[in-house]
Amino acid sequence: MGAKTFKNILVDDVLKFNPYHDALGRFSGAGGAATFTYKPGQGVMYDNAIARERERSKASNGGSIDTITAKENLVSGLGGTHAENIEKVIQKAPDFVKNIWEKYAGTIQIQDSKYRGIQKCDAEGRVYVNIEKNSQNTNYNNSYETTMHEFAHAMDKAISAEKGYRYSRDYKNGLLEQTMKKEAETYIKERQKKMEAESGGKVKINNVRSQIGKELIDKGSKSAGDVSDMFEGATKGKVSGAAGHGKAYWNDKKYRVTYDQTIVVPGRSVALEGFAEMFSATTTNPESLAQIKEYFPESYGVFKDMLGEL
Amino acid sequence: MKNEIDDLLKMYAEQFDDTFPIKLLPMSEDEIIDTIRTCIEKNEPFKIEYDPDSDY
Repeated sequence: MGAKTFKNILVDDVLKFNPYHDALGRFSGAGGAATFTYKPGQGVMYDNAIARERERSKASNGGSIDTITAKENLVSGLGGTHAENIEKVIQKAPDFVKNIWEKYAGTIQIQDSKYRGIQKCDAEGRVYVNIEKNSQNTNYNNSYETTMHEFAHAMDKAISAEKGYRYSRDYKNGLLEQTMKKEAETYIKERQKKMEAESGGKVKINNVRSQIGKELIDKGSKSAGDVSDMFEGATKGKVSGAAGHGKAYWNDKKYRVTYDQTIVVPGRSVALEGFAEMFSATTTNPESLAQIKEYFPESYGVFKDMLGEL
Repeated sequence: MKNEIDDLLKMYAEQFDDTFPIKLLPMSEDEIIDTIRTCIEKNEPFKIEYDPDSDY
């Protein structure tokens, strides 16, 4: 075989490396590509071709590289704008969040998007939210924070139905709940020691709990609302902070896990809410996430493992 | 950062020894403020009934 002509190089070596072409082999833009042949990291030529195409697509899309494709179930349940906004939130999230989202967000059923009651995820995993209110940024919530909280419950239920046990509560024999309770208890005991060292005498545990509650309230509901609820759940209402479900929620004796009607749980598990709070904080509230990492670092590690293993 | 809502939540917690379920209510900030104020003024905690089979 002789030396390659310019045409050979152009056709065989350069155009072949265009990562975007349709099923008939026609070249197209990123938005219209039917097949993505090359992945980044396969070679300099591939990477350069991908980079060139991304820049070209970015210019033709008015500066936006990625096209938002909202989940159909969320578009029909919430409307296109909210569904796309939520998808944008997810695109900024870490990979372990994207992992659960890509696998389970398509299972979320929106029962009511203009709900006027206490927002929830029901026994069948259907979500009741007021999306207009939830999309607002307030002094106590970021946009879509409560929606993400309820979505986390719904995805937890979808995962649980697949696995045959309540994922947030029963993962590794209740590791998330055990870790949350241990971290809350350790924090309380360490605070007691510190207070006793400062006062030079015994300090009652109720006074310690009360002091921690005040500390959380002083941090404000937007940043400390989630950790307050996690403390409230882990201590069955003995520590109350800036915001939460309220003491009664943690001591409801009738609560049961309905995907398996045979299980009756004495009181709600803090793991269910911790799972939802860590999810909503990771996706929508960095201030809250910082507090979770400060007070419940090991629990957050368990949460990350749980999502990564799906 | 502290704000009017946080001041009211603090008053609510001190008065009722419980937390107000602020994140679950589908209300505007002004409606939340009015609701907490009413609870405090009437000395009646916010009544909430949780469905035992739902997660909130």
